[in-house]
Amino acid sequence: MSDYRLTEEGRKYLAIGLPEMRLAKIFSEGPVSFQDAQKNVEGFGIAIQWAKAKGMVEVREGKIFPAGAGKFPEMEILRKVADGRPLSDDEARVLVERKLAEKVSHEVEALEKRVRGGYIVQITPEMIKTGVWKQAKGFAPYDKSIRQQPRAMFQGKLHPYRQLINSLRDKMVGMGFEEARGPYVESEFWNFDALFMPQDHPGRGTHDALSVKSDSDSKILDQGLWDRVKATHEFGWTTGSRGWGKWRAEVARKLVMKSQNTAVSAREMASRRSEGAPYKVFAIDRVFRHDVVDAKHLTDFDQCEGIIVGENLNFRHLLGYLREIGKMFGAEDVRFKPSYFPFTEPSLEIYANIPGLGWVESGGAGIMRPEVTAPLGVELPVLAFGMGVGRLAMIRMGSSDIRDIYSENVQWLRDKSMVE
Amino acid sequence: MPVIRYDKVQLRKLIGKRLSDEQLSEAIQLVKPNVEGFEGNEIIVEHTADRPDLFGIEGLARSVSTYMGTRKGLTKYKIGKPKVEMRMTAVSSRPYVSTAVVRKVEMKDFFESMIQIQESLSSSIGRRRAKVAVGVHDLDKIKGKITYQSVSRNEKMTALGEKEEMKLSEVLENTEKGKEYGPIIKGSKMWPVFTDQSGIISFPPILNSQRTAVTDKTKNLFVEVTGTDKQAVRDVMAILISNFGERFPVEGVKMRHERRSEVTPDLSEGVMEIGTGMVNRTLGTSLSSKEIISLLSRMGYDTLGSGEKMEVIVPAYRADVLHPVDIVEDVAIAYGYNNFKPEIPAVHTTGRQTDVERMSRKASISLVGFGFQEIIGSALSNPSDQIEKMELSGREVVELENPSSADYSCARASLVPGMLKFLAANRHNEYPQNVFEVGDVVLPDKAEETGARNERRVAGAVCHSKSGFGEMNFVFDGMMKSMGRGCSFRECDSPMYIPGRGVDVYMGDRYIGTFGELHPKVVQNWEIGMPTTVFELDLEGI
Repeated sequence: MSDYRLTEEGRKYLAIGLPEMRLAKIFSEGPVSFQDAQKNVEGFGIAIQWAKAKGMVEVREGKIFPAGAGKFPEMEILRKVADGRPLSDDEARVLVERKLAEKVSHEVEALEKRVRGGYIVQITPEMIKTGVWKQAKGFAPYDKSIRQQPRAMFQGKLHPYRQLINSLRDKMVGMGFEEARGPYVESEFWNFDALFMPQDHPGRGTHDALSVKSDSDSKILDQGLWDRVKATHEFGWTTGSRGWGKWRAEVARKLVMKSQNTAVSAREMASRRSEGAPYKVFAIDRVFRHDVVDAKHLTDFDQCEGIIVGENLNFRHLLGYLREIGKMFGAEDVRFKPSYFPFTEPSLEIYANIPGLGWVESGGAGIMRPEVTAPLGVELPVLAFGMGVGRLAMIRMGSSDIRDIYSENVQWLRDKSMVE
Repeated sequence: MPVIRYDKVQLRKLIGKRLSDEQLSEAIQLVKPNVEGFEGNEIIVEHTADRPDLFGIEGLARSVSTYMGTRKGLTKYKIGKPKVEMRMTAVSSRPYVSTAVVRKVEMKDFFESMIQIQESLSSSIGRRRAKVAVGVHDLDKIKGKITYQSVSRNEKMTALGEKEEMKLSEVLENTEKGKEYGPIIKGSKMWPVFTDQSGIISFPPILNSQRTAVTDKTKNLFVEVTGTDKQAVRDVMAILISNFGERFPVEGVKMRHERRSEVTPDLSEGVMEIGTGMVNRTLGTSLSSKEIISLLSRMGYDTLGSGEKMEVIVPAYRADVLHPVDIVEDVAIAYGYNNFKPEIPAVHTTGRQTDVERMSRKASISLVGFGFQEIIGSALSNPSDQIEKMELSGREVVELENPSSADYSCARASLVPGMLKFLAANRHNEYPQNVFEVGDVVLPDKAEETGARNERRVAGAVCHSKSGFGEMNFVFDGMMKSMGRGCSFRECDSPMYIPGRGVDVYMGDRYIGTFGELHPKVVQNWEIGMPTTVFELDLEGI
């Protein structure tokens, strides 16, 4: 069997002759006009093109003049293909270039056999390329009730909690806050002492904070700062405070897992001092607590903390920022309640009215105490706030178990809708 | 934050005003504490740690009635001339003492609140009795002169609730309170006691004696406060007396030390200087001296002077007032937090996220594009997961001194174990399971201030029946291109990978990560049961 077969065009020319042959018949008796030739020769465009190429004609003043005898080796080759005789490479090229014949593979033939008269289930690239699909009776319909494709395919997704955190971060940046980070392994100095938490404060105990095993405690990088903090704790230093009493550097040098992002704020204040003002800094990062994991507790979770440092800032400005932040996070309204944090005074708690939930305690805030800011080198008012992200996340994820934040269920993650 | 229940009827009676539940709850919250709700006859109040003067029912009532204007300014408690004298000796383990006498006591309606205030003060400012402990006795059962002294652990007493006499050391071993609070004094050779002529009446900070126990028939009280911090002892006594003094007459006690004598309790007031300027600057208000004085009066202060020179008289029980800002907060509380007009100041700053955060997002977008599911895990782990199950012996982790559970006993030094734990938990779910995590790991580093540093990383895992190096190579290469970073691979011999199927990733000469096909041993350790290929990349240094 031949490796070539005639195309539709090839079969036609074998029967009625090449177009230039048919044109030659008309002008064999003398020049003819373009119009007459066009009328009488099927495929005139191709005919005149090949007649010119083969030097058979000249075209002058809208007429066609015979110029020489044409040669038509194609006809013999077409016959060879039709008879199933083998072709030389040159012969094959003549026909293939004119698209009068095409190479046939055994695969295509097999494909034809399979498709002819039947219904196609899976359409393949070969069927499209060869046009074999035309020989089928049609396409088999799918059972559309089956949603699942035979091979599992899963979309890549961000964790819903990440989507929320990213959105919070974008909003804070949008409000002009610069992002900061702090180390997870922190000294008690930054985590507590710089925040004016007395060294015997219950929150510093091993029931709340996670202590770090280490053969060496924190370094003291800035002795002056440590001296100022010590003086402030012991007698108020120059701040006008009564202080707490005894203070020991050995306690401050102990290492803990950062238990509040206020430690990050303290580090930022110490490095930017008053000179960098005005500045707004925030951190959304992990904090660690001595808690047993259950539906309401995690050992580490994210807190969003921020400070605003600048001249003439006051309590009403703090409330203004909090209301704005609350609204940004979807609260219809916010209210404020007196509260207590060792590092701020006045201190308050933020209650946000979340649609569908009512008033929810959403965070704490206040103006940093002079006992915090003065030793760090900040003489300006510092507005500070902090919010747990977990509760907001649970609301947005429609979840009643905080462990969903660290979900180990891939199906839950795959099925979860996106969160803002 | 202590949560305390109060009898509604009693509270109203002490406030001296007819209040509905709602009004009562609102008034308390305006002063500061949080009302959690009502249950039967009780109101449940969550206090803030700074206001122990509100823990007792009398103190709470005092602040509410002052806030509502039923009384004005500072409430003074008269201390009657001492009739009781006692002898003080040096007690090094608990050197500071304050005592008082309360007369004409009616125990009905008082007994419970008396116990409650002692408990809540000694557990809060008292730091679970280590710093301050309180004892209350039936004065009329005390015989002869009281002495505060140190004695040997072999001395005997009949402790509260016991029938037999015991050595002090046995009190520590055999009683509930002894076991609970014993550790506070165990280190000292001699232990503090109050004695009368018949023996030990109190063994602070552990227990009182049965002999001087307060009953519902008690008429006169002897109150003793002992501790290791002078200020804290004074504060606790001031709060106690300002509570008991709301109901009954209080009398001083003359305490004779070796070379001097003093009368306690000391309820002398403190003074804080403020001015209209600093109040208004802090609060963003324009209050006059008169307005400030009137607001402070509602918070229980008297104020002298006006304008820039005002002296605020601070009652002795306000242990929380350390600095003039504490007075300013009380001005704000009296003004009402929700009466301030919030305002956004015109402070222009440009927001910015950290560079590593931007890199993290690029990596995430790329991996999501490859069809990876993001997972998020705890930053705490345990050495077994971090080291043993990974077949790594050299890895160092930061361990915790007091983990809340063995599962969370160290900081993670790699994100890979968390991902494998996730994959193990999802064996019953459909594959492929291709996951990634972005987060900080903690690496011990002696050069750092705190001996460790954070490193932001991204890690991924490809887990399905045909998972292999080739597919991960494809993903890794695409991710690096998305982040605009080039890298080179070097052979690695990490035991967590199949030999010859893991590489270390370098950017120039800097090691930035690793990837490879997990050794079947590792896959088996995690019981994943599916070929798994992983990578982990440092986002900090690229």
